[in-house]
Amino acid sequence: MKSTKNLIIRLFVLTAIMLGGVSLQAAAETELERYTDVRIISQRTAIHPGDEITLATEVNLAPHWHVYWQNPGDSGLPVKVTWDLPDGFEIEDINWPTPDKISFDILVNYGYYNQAILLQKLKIPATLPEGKITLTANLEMLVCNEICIPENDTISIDLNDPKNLDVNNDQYIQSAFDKIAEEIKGEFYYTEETENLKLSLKPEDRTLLNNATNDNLEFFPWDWGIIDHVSMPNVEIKDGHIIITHARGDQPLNEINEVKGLLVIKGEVGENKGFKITALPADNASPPSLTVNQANTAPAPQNTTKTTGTDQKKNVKTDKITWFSALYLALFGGVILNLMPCVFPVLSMKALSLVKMNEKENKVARTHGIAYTLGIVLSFLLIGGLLLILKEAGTAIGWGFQLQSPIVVTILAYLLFSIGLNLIGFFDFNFGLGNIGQKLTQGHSVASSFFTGMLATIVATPCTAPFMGAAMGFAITQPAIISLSVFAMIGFGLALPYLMLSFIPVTRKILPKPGAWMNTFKQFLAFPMLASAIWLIWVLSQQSGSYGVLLVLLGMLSISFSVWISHLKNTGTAKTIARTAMISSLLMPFISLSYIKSSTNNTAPLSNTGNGAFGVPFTQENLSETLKGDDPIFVEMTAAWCITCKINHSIAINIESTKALFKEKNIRYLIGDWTNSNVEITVYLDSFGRNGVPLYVFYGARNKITGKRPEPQILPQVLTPSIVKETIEK
Amino acid sequence: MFKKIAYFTLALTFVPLALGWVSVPVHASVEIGKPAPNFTATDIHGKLFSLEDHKGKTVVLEWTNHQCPFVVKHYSTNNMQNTQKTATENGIVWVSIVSSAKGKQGNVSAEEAMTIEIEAGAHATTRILDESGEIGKLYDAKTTPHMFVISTEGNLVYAGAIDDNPNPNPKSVDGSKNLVLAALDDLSAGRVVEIPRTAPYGCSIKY
Repeated sequence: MKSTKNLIIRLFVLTAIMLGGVSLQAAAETELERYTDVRIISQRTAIHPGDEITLATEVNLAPHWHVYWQNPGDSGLPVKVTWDLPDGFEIEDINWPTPDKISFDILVNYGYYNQAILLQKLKIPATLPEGKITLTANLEMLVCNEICIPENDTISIDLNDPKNLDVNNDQYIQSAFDKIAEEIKGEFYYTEETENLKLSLKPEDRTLLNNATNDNLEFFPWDWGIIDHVSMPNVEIKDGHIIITHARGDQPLNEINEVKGLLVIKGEVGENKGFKITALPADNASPPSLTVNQANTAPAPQNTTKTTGTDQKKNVKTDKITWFSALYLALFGGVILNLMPCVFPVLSMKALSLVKMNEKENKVARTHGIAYTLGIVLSFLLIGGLLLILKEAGTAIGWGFQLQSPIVVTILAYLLFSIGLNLIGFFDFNFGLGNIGQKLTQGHSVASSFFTGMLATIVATPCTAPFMGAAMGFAITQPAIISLSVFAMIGFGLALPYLMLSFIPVTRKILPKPGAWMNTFKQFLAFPMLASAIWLIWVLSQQSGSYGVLLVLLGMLSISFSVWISHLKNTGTAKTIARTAMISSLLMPFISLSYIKSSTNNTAPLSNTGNGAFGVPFTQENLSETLKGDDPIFVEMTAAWCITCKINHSIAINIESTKALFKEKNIRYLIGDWTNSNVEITVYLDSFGRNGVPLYVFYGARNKITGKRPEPQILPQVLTPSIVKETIEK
Repeated sequence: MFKKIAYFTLALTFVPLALGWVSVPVHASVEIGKPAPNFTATDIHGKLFSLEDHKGKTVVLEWTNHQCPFVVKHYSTNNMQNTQKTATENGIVWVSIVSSAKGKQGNVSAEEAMTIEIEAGAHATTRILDESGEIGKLYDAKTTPHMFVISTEGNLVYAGAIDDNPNPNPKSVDGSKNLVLAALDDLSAGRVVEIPRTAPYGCSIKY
């Protein structure tokens, strides 16, 4: 930089001498005052055939004067460099440094104060003449402060000059490159909304924008007419997703097919940090052509990560998912959901109610099938919608979020417990499961089928079936309509078996003939229900500790007590007393609800529950630290309320052979527990295009030769010991 | 309870509406195909000029600043004068407007403006001094020159540069396409203006 200053000083001293000196008059007439001083700098002075070197055009400006960027803004002209090159030489377009935004009243320009170094790559042909080679640059610049003056220059440099062969300007070129706005990747889309250009930007590497805030981020368009330069943008940054709304320019957006420009983090004059992006029309983002989160970068919990080592910039390959395949996965996942222990009893009871139907009642069966399906689909839409709204509001949540609330867990436990009591015959309250021995037509309203559908959804929420994770992960990153369609499809899948039974009479033939066995079967189904209730109590024990468990058990006791009282055949005063007792005991579950709170300090409950020393709790910091080392890493994301996670853990991970394998391969094992909401884990899941557990990720050992880690592998959501083994040994 | 739900629904409906209102841009007071905004001003000869008095005639607005190198390029080569001559001979109203603020480059008195006009041999119908920048800002004029063409119906049909060669070098006038003449040709032939908007180039207007 010193040389720059010297040059400028020289320039002005020269001008001063000319103006004030001997030949004052002649100078004033022939020499106009200059505001720029330009140098051409070659990366090397010696070149070889086939080389590629960088040429720098260094424009030094007098204080307060500026030259213009590629898009000069409302007035001005970009710096133009035209080269006279010997045959065979090729020069590429200018790499522009990030400009400053220069505002004058209702005009905005993009340009450079003090100094601008424009870089161009020069391709050297395969054959070179002997001796000195001369390159000539013709510069046309419009130099302005308030007024503008065109300045032109013709500058030559000599390469392969025998007298000057060993100059190496690598360092100068490198530091100039640091100011160039580099092209970044990500999902970049634009739409037009009420005369505004709306950019929706998701850079792959979130860490690039670590210093970006709603106030210091701007968009500099590459072309004229895209935005109204003068108006200020409205910027929202949330979880690495940037939305910039800017009044659009004179160019109708439907006449262009991409928006190029720089995403700029504003700094001092000359210190703006720009990233070059190309945004596509959002119509292109609509299904089914879109692929989702094909690559993601390491999670960057807002402002908390300190490490941004190269290992963090992993490129994870998630499966390519289109809208269509997401729907397909959702449907399949929904069907499988029927087999989950919490849902299975509900479906079974529902199916049994069809057993006694004869051919003539097909129409009724259909109506019930539709009502049940509607019940399920609507509840899925409700939960999905709630999830989207909360997510939009900035809460870091994902599927299964309901179960992160101990209150919801408690209510579900009560519900499953009551259904269990009902099934076993302890009381007859109709939960809509259908009374065995009764036909659908007898006193069984369509509404009850609808509510059974809702019930099925509620009891299904703890279970994430295989295939659902990927579908939901996709759903949550999409516009509301698309994500809701995926949710609805999961619901449709869940309803499908029953819908089929009710619509296609033949399928009912596979059901056994009605008989006394049905009552026994019904009673049997109470046990998976009660088992689910026990499991929920266990979940609660991790959320609210032993006191919470005590409260919920007391609540269950009062539920059974009030049921028992209601059975008593009483008269007169006894009846009144019994009723009072019943009502007061029914209050207990609600009282207990109000006392149940999540305990805050259970950071690693899983490691206390039978894992022993196996595995360490996941934190972002932990992962970053471990990634710096050379050992392979296995990350497990789980939650107490996630049955799939539990099963995977016990059959594929927490077994002797896998433990031995982990030990043999020196695998670092990190477990993230999402039982309670945890932003770091949510962000981590999000970085893999997921928003629910389970998630298993394997980071291979660092390659000794290249010093790099292979891309992390995502394991399926249903694990077997051999899947784990294959992934690790691959 | 119902009250709460009702309030919530109301909030859900009106909050986005309110936000939408806020983000409606101030932009686009002038738009191609829309009526050109009217203005009334006294010209350098003391005559009142009002745009709406010229409905039925094609009007060209030219933003100028005699000290701007880009304006100099078009006057020193007679490019601008020739364009004005062609236009006015065909019954087109040509208005040159100077929006330079007091003390800024290009700001002149009415007398100076008349001298400039005569020395340059300009063929404009009239010349308006817009020291306050009111007309310039009304048209969102950015540069000198910045050209606007208004159709006989009073609609804006062209906004942008004088030609397709954004360069201060007077030699660049040769061989460049005069976009204002092209627009006027389209109009007189009864065609839709083929290139209705371009990026204006030149010095910034010294508001």
